[in-house]
Amino acid sequence: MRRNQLFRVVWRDVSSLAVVRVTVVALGRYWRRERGRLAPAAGSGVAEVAVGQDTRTSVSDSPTPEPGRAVSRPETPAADADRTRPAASTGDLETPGPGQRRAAVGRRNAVGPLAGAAVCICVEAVLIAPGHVLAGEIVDALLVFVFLQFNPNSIGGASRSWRAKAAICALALVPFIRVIALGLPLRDGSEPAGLLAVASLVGVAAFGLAPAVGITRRTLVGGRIPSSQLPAVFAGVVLGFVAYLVGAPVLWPAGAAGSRVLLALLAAVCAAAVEEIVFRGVVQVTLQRAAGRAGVVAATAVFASTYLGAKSAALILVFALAGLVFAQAVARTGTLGAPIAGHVLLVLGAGAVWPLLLGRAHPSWVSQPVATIALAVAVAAMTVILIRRRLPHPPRPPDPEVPSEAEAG
Amino acid sequence: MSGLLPHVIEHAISSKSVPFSSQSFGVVTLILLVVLLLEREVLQVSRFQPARRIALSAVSVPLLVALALTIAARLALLIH
Repeated sequence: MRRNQLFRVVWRDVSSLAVVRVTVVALGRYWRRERGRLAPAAGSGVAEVAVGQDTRTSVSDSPTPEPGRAVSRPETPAADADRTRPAASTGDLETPGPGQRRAAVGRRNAVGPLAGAAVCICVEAVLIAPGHVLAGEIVDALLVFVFLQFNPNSIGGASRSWRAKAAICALALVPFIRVIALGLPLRDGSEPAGLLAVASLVGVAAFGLAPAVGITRRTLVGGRIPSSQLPAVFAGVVLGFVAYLVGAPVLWPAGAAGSRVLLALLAAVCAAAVEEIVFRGVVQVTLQRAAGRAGVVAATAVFASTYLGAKSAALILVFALAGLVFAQAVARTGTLGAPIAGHVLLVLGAGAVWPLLLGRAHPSWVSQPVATIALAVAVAAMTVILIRRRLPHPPRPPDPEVPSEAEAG
Repeated sequence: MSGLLPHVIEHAISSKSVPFSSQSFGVVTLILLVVLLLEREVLQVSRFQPARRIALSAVSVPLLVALALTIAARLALLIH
């Protein structure tokens, strides 16, 4: 009986995958055949598109460009403007061409879709917090699919700005976190093991997505911590203590075995690092390129919205404040070392160090309403500082990491 | 606590068995994976928009791992 059941399950899963694969291959062959049939007739049109709108595609797909075909680096916004300019005026740097004007208009028009995407994510987080999890996952899956359509290489999307498209594409990582967390079979595993699995998969997705939105993978690793970022590390220590005071949960249950404690510490460190890579390294950098300081604040709001399911409002505000501090450090220096260190220290301090030093029971003298009001004032003040302070020019997207055909395939 | 695995999602995961969650949450994941793979295959065949293909691959790989883990968990439940 059990063997029959096992056979049925295996047959159903494998046959489903096989049907999907066969369908995809058949569609691909049909598409290839149709393209081959239409290629001579559509040759001039394709060349026109490649020169006028998407030369990066033509460069990466054909290593030896054809004579007369424009070869440039349109991955950068400047090149984005250049490629829409007539070839004769490419060397003219004084007067903006029609392409530059169109790019400027596109940047202005990008604020609407960007704000809409950020609001969608925040509202979805608000909806999922009370417990509408399955509906929230369906919305998340739709958001992932829709946001991925705003890739910088697409032609004729809702937003014409390269930076806005990259930012919206990067925002797909946020709903993707919830989709992957709910898709994993985590019921019988421990909470740290589940968190470690989710963090690993989201980290893989972030590192894979980074080149597509103009971020080099090297910048996501962290690197050294400049002295100007040391306040962010110190803020992580202080906010870890504050989070302990307002009731952050301890990382492991009382009387847990040593292996469980080690796994919990490892999961907390990995999750903190991945959160910084996703929210500061990918989402904030792309939003800052597209919308400046408003983008930084929006990225922090998206980060804080992921904590809406926390026990207390004070705890959510602690992480919102931490997000603002880390966001300012990244916006000013462009490196992720200090935010990663600060976030790790915050989590370890709140969930491990302070409970070990001062006891697992949270101090009773801390008034939650007073702490909530004080933290809300601090968040508001930090937001005002972040908005009013002049940030350095957002980092220009690096040279594209054009993948080889094997890597892309 | 972490924003990657909020309390609500953790509670939803722990309150459902693996077969049941693979028929509810897992179906959404599977449909998203199939749609993304189809789009990626079309883009690969058309040799167009490599950046979008990279983005689709980046998102599809973790979903594939999640699907493989779900199938493995269901098999493990049946075997034991």
